[in-house]
Amino acid sequence: MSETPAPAPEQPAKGFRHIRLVIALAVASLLGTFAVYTAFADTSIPVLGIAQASTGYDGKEVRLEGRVTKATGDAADPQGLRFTVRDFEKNTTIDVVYRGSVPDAFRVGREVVIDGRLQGATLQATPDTLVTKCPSKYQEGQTTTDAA
Amino acid sequence: MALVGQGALILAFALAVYATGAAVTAGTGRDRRFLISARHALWAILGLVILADVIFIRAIFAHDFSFTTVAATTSRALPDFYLFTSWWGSQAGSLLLWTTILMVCTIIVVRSTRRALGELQPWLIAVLGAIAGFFLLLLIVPASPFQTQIAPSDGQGLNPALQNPYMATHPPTLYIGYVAIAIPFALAMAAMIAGRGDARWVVASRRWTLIAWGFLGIGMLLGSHWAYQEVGWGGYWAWDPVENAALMPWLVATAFLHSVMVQERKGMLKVWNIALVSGAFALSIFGTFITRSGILSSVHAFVSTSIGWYFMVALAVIIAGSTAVILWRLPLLRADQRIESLVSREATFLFNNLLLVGIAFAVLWGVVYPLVTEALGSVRETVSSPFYEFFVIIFGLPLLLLMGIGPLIAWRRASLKQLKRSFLWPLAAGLITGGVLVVVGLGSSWPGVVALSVCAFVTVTILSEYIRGAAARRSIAGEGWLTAVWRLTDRNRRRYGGYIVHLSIVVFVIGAVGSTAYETREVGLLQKGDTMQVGAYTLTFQGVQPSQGPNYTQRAAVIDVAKGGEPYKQMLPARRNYPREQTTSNEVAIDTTLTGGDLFLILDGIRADGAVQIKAFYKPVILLLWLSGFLFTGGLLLCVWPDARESRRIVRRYAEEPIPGEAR
Repeated sequence: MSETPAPAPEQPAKGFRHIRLVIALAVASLLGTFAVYTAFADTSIPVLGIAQASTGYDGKEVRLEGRVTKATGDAADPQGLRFTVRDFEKNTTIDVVYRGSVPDAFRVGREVVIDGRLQGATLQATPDTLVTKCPSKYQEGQTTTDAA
Repeated sequence: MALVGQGALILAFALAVYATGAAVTAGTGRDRRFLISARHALWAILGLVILADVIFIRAIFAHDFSFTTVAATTSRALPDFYLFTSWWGSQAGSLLLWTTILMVCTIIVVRSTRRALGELQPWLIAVLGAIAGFFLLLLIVPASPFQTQIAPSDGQGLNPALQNPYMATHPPTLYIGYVAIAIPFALAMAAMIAGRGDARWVVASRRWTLIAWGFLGIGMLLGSHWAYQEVGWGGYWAWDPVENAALMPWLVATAFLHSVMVQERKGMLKVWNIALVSGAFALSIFGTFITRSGILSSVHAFVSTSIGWYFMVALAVIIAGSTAVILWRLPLLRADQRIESLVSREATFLFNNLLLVGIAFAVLWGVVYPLVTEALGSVRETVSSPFYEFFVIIFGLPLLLLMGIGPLIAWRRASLKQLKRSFLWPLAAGLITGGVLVVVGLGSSWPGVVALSVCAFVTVTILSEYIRGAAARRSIAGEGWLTAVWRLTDRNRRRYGGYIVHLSIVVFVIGAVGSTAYETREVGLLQKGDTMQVGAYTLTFQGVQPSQGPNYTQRAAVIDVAKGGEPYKQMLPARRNYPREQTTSNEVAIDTTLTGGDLFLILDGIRADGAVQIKAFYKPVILLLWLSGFLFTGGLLLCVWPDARESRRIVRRYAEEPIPGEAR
């Protein structure tokens, strides 16, 4: 097989070297922005299981994942919707006080994700942050709804 | 029948392996018989996949609950329309549809490039055959639509959130976008393996990228409208990993569509363009991995099955393979020319690319951040909307500005005189708009003021391009304004179609900024007869109205709306209970006003004592956000529509040019 070499490019002019420098600086600025922003801006929160949340996060903003074991009250009431999330393996629970929109699929037995501030064994939830995972979509090997 | 369906998929997989092998043999040995045989194998695969589709759809409509998938996503009470859409309501069904679309695209691209890119055919078929083989493997092993069980008397039904007319359009539109992005990737890889460093593959892949990009864009907009109407939290984009999964390849494809012009015109950015095409395809596979692995928490709550790891392996192969091919062919990808000035069209495209890839990288970083923090041994952390919004503002505003600057700036090097002449009026329009917004009291959001001012700048640049071109035609051909604009557009569909797409982005930004930066939001707990105020509207709760649907019961809050003391209309935000699916759904009430704003009511809860919690929004000019989709589609069709004049131009151009590195 014969190889036809590509024509050799001209040597970069002085002006082009400057352009390359500007472009390199632009790329570096973009990457620097990411580094600085993610390091200093308070935009991330820890995602915790129930057992993790039980230790060392008192007074902190967290995102909690767990299964609802009991629920009373109404998110529309001033007292709010009160429910308990449990880690079945480690047998730990956290109570949640929530006000705001309740997802359609919320009920006892469902996996939920919720943001809020931990106060002892209670999560004072941030309004409108409750998200429900549909259990049928989280079972190994089961065919599930996934097109939304 | 399940056995026949499964057999068809197994045979199709075997044929995909054969097509890939035969194509490689044809590519290395240059034996045309293998190439012809590989092409025939592709047709056979398409036929077998369609047979599998027919068997699957028949099982859905026959309520054959011995098919596990059919039982999991349908029921006897499900209306026919949703029986059909349940085809892609399951993992296995959606992958079957995905594979069907892939095979249709494969056949079209292989046929359409047979003459113009004949020497690329073996490698094109090999790459697409391998991709088809991967999806067929998924359909045989981890996600078979033909898995069977002892049939229950009824199915579990379709998730109520999916029982929406948008179910018919949003998922298939996105799938076409995801799948079509494989075609430019395959063309790029075929060109590189065949040792073709020229821009011919770029010309062929541009239209496919436009199709993929257009479908992804429209799919995301449809999904946003669906979420806005159906999910009932008052927004349309939540920066959820699954939403981001579609946004990332779209952003990278947008960058490619711009940088490709620099390669066609100046022979620059060759490596960059191949990297972008490969990146867009890799991101579409990565998005699918995120979507289907359940590795990240998502509102969309997809599966957490082993299928995600198949995608992970595919992703590794794509990244490693495309990187190796690019490194192998680097000598063929040297730029023909250099950027001479930072104030030139090509430099503008380059900055546009950096910003688009910057946003894509920010989104990717946000998506993988929980995985990175966990891998580093600390507690898993996640980022939310403020993170993404920060980057969209700081990268998006300059990008929007470049959208106005790019079309008016000269290739190679722009002069100060030309810049002054081109930008005087657009700049004035931007500054006046900003001033007016502050004066009328809309200065509360600085990103809002800046974005809307830049929108005015871009709009005037686009209009001035049309006026300048039409005026030239009028003076030469003596045409009327309308004829001149029409012919101008028709004679250069790609350029003016692009301007219309730019205009659609401006309209989208006005809708997005207006409806978020200047939104009014109130929450009220109302007893019968109580009122609440949202913006200029007074809402009075008149009681709860129960009703019965085909497969649900509904309770609606009757809300009388008054504006300026005068009765305006009655609205019925509601909650529905689906007994078969054992779930409820939120049915929001939306009234679109004459000024394009939405009064948006959510029934958050009904208490035992009959009181209701109502969440009310007024979202100014949000209608523009949805209307931008029509403009986007119109511009896109103009760009994609076959243009015989352009084809002749391209044929002439490449007939005159030598092919760099023609032989391997």
